[in-house]
Amino acid sequence: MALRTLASKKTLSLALGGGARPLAAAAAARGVATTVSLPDLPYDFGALEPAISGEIMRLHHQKHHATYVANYNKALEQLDAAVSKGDASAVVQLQGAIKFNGGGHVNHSIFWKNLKPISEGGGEPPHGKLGWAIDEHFGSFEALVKKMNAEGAALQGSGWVWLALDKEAKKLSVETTPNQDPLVTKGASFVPLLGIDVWEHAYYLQVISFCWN
Amino acid sequence: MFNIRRQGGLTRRFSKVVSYYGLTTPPYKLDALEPYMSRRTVELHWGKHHQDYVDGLNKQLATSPLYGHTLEELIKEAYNNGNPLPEYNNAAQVWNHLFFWESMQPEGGGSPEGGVLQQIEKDFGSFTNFREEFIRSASQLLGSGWVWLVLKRTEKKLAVVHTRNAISPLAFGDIVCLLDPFFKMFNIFSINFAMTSHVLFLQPIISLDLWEHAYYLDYKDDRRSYVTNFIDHVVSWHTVTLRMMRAESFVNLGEPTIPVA
Repeated sequence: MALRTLASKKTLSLALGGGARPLAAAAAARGVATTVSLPDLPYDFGALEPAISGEIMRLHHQKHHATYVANYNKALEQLDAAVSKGDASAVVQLQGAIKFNGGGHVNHSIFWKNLKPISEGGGEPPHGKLGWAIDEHFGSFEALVKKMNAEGAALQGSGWVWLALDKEAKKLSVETTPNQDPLVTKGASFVPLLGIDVWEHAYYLQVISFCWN
Repeated sequence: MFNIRRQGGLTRRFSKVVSYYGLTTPPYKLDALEPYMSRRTVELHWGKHHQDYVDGLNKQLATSPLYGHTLEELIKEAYNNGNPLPEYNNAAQVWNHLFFWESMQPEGGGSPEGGVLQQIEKDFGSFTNFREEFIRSASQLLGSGWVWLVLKRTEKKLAVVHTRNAISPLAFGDIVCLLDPFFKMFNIFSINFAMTSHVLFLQPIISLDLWEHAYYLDYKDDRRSYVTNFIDHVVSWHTVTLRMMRAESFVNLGEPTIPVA
């Protein structure tokens, strides 16, 4: 009996590199996407003040992003069940939830990395190759900022503004995506360099101090 | 609201009168919906967001060929059968928010009475079912949008629907009016019609704003509490009764159970 226990533990750890859920193991073996987890922020919640308040960062990370992660994992489990049952209409019906929650997770994971406290260089204009590329495609860094602001303000409803690199055309562009659609939905060759969350939850708690004082 | 500009020649005979959309105050004081919707939220939502839509619309209409319509006509024109023109978002949001303020009242909520309650019980089974359906529809909306209680004209029954961003049921009314008999003649189109019919030809009765700006200051990410408080404490059944009365002039619901004035 001990031998059997050892064997099953070994199989699990072989499949996943240690300490993971059986579902993920089975899923990995079958080629279906594995579940995700909430990435830690590389800085404290309050580290981006006064630009973004600690309260917003905490809510944004612990509530919104965490909900996307939880719902994405749930949708993946349901997808797994639907696929194994061969229920095509259920699979199709889950695509909305997967796109929304999965996109939310992908986008926010990029977003946290795009931000840095001022003490670590956050807010400094880009230099090197990126700086030159921006000057080449937009004229100047200020022009890029102006363009991204305009696109963000013009976006109806919820969505994201991106500084995108088109790998094939080898150029930079400013793109927007609605709701939580990731940048790749705009074109498979797009790589997100910088994403700005323009959902109201990203800034609304500070809107009073920005607008009405 | 009138803004008079005088143009052209030397005499007053050539002056041109131009009119703009204005913004009325909500039918209650800004703090009247506390504690379910704070004064700060209403002040910002109405005073800034709603006002911005009105100002944006006026700015667009100054140079737009769509100048001259009533607001409801403008929404239908600007919706352009699904390819919205630039004026659509502002026009629809102006109307949606007017409808929203009037859908609420201080000390609202509870349950409706008389004919409205009878119609809800007929179309949803019970008031509790309607309430759960409303809350469920709100949680199923991903992103910004609105939840509506509507009266479906062809089916002659109430239903809960949700729409994204600025879409309102108004945009769809006329389309089905034209195509309805055509679709019924040719059953091959019935599948498409059934798929889209749940958002066509609808008379709005209640609206609830689910854009984050409507609830974020009071409820943060807890959208569910916001919707529950709306339906339990804030929705104006008086307004619903008035709207149902008006809707009955378009839709024959049988013997009048909504009081006729």
